[in-house]
Amino acid sequence: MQILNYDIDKKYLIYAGIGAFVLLVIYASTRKVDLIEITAPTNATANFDHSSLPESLQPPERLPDNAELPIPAKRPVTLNAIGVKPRFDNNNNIF
Amino acid sequence: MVIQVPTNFEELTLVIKVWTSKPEKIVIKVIDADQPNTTFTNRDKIVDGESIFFVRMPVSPKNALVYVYNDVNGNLLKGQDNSFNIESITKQMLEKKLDVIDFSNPLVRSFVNFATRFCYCAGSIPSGNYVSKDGKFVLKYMPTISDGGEEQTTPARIELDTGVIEVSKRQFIDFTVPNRMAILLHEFSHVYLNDNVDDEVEADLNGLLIYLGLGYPRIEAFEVFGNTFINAPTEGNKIRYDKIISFIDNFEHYDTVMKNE
Repeated sequence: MQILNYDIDKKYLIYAGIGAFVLLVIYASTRKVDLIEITAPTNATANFDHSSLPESLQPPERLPDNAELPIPAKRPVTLNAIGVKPRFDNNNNIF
Repeated sequence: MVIQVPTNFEELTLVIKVWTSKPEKIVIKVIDADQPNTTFTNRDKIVDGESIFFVRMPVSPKNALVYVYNDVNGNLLKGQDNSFNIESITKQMLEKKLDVIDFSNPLVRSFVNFATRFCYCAGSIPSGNYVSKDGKFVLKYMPTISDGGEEQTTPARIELDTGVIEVSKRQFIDFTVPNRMAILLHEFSHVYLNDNVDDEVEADLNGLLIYLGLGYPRIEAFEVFGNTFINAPTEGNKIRYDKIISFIDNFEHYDTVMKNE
């Protein structure tokens, strides 16, 4: 029985490993959906409760009616915003 | 035909493969199965042979209902309409380009979080004043936007001095979630990203950069700006629309610098 060169074996193993990983990523990121038809959509939306949503999708806080509005963030002051624009394409006009 | 797809609040792309034997106008609509007035896309296309619809969903519900039907025949049950066939629906990874968004800016981080929550829930929350978690942004969700008793055609606007955003519930309720996001990012850009607060085109492009980077669908941006401009068909708006189309087309190639022409 012929014994294969160890270095070649190792190289092929790495290629095979990378190939298997790529296939696994493609397989895991593409999931086919069973086509189950809904024949009569229910009216479940009428009783929707926002607390069933994950925290990141829950509605923002609603202020009580007649509550004073907080002061929103100020517009950031930047050189561009005040019209001083540095130029790097012309050595004669640095600013 | 309506297919229920469990999306489990993941960010994903729905890939819907449809086949027709001759040219047919196929409508694709994706809505939230649970929350009212929450649509993720509503589009149509003439399909002749096999065609693929990509529905990008940076935000998704627990369960989505995917409507697929021939516009001529309306929504019928499977077996009642043989003019098209759904070959498959698959869930794929959402492609995003977060590197184009300046998330080092805390205002951008905060507003994206605030706007995402608001846009997803806008169809099911009452009018009123809403505030972001850190108190940096205030949004007045009004039944309609009016000036001197006359209803305005704009779906949203921002007070340039204060940064308070006003949103018309009457218009927002019919918009898709991506439509809402595109509008709010435009208003945010006016005050917090623009060099010139009054520049509409600059606000369009600054807003779109975030919108597209987050992975929202391009077609919904075309749609919302197109519909807004139809209500105000000025020469300036035509130029704006052309620039938006050019910007979106170039975005895929990272060519996001507008050249003076």
